[in-house]
Amino acid sequence: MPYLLKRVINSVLLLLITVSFVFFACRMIGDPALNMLGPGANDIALENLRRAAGLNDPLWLQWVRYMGGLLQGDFGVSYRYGFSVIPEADLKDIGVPVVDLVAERLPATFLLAGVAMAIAVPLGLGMGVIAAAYPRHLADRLVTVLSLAGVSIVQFWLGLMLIVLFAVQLGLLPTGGYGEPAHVVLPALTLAARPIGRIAQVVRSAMLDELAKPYVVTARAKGVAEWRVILLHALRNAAIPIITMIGDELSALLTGAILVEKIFAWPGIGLLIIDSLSRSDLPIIQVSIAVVATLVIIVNLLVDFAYRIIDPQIQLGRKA
Amino acid sequence: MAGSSNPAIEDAIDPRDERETLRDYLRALGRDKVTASAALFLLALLAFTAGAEFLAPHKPTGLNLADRMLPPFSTGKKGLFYLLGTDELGRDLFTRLIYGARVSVSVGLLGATLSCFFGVIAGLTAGYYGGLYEDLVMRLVDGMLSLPSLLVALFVLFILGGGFANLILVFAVLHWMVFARMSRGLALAARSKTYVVAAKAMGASGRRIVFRHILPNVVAPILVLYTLEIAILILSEASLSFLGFGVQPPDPSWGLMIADGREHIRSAWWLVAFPGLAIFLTALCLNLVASWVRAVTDPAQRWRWFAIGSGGGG
Repeated sequence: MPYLLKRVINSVLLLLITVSFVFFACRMIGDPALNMLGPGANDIALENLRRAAGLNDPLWLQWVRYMGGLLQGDFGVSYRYGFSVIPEADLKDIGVPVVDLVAERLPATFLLAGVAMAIAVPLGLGMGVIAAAYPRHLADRLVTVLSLAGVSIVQFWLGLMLIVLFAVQLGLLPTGGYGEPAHVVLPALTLAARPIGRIAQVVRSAMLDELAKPYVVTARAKGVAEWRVILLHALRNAAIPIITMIGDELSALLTGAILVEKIFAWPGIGLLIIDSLSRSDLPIIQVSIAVVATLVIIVNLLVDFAYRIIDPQIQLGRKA
Repeated sequence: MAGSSNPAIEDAIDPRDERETLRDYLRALGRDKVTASAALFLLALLAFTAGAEFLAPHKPTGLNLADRMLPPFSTGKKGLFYLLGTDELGRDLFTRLIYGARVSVSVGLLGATLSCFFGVIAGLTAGYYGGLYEDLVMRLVDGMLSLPSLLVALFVLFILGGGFANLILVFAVLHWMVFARMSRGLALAARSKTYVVAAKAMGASGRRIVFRHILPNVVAPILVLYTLEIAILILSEASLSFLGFGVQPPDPSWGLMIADGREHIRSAWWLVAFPGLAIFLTALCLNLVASWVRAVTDPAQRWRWFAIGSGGGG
């Protein structure tokens, strides 16, 4: 128990450090008031905004206020969305709350990541198991080649090529967008390519290790059907490296989604990040980076917990 | 060695000829056609990168508006031949790919070299000395590894501004941890080996043990990781440059070329297809070479590669 608690505390600390780093880094690139109002703003408007937003206070106080706001669910307001008049009084009346903008985008990213994993996990598992069951056969070679290709390909380029083929040339699927089931096919396939390869590779080598162990020989000698040996005996024992890889790939997928969402105009959090970076919309950048980092940290944490459930022998916290 | 009854194996792993010469490695490489072609591709890539001025068929900035948007294998108005076609300004795509390789490959090489340098120093010393120092280093490593690196790179480049030097800097800062984690494990394992104990007994200093005794013995796995890391960095460079936060326009890079070609994707697919293919092939070859190096330097597997050449056969 203390181990799990320690892991959670470490994760929260890491998150605090990340959020603070992003906060201070955003302040390094210049006057936030100028950034908000644009280069043509007059001095009176700038001063008003600084006073309203508390930008004249010392930086540490602003940081305390920002972190306090985060804890209370106040994520600030966006500079760019619905921001046509120069704010005189209260910023919160005019800007759009960041929390709404981010929350609005999360379901799309979850949908995309979910569909991609729903494609990648069964395919990767299946390919890896088949490759391990028939080592050195054609199927094994094919799986090796495909998984190497999967890790060597540039994801967003694959997306563009799929667009050229299926959307432009064949006209079967839309080039991008959101809303109908057809829209999710190409982005999900693009995102799934890499995890399919990585999962297949890990499943293959973990299964080969397990299939060489004495308990497999015993099971076969007892006359257990080969499919049972592979699926019920070996695969279960090979679960730990496989789970680790799936967890790694899930967090890689959350960041990989940034480019794929951009290519397919998929309105998820990745597209929000890219758009706000190009518009220098600092409040959104701060929060969306924190959100993605949180998701990745949570996935890592879950993988750690999953170990303990799968294999009670593992003593977490001990150095290997 | 214990447990093996095959004389060929015994012979091949006899400590007397344990250190294969470069020639043995080349011969082993010659027997593996796939890896040999991958290595040749990488050599050719390096040659083109170094000698772009002499080897490129056209000038990288040679505008030729008469020959705009020509598909691959076409001949222009003045009889010039364009192997991979031309872009919207009539520049030869193959030439631009060669010049783009210069940027993409050097970002990968320099980034991987820097992160390897710092990571190995941090990891080996942490593993050898242990104690509070090790705890601090490994906590930093674990913390940084659990952050999404592409996103952090994107953000830092947004703050610092893109460009060749910043990109390499960001890669070095965000990728040294993998080397540190691996070398720490290697140093930890080496600490109790006889040769380290012997060196210590003879009064060698810690620094000498780490860099003169342990390091040469753990070069192989680090080399494998280094090769893989070059591939990963070339892919990341492409992503970051594509988004506009990496290498900046007058410099050509493969990622930027894809970004430029994207506007013409409906009419000129080759502008997007070939730069991506170049990245894909480079990464694929690096991966193939890495897994070969891993197999060849693995003590449990190496006899497969050398036994045949030394007359034994399996």
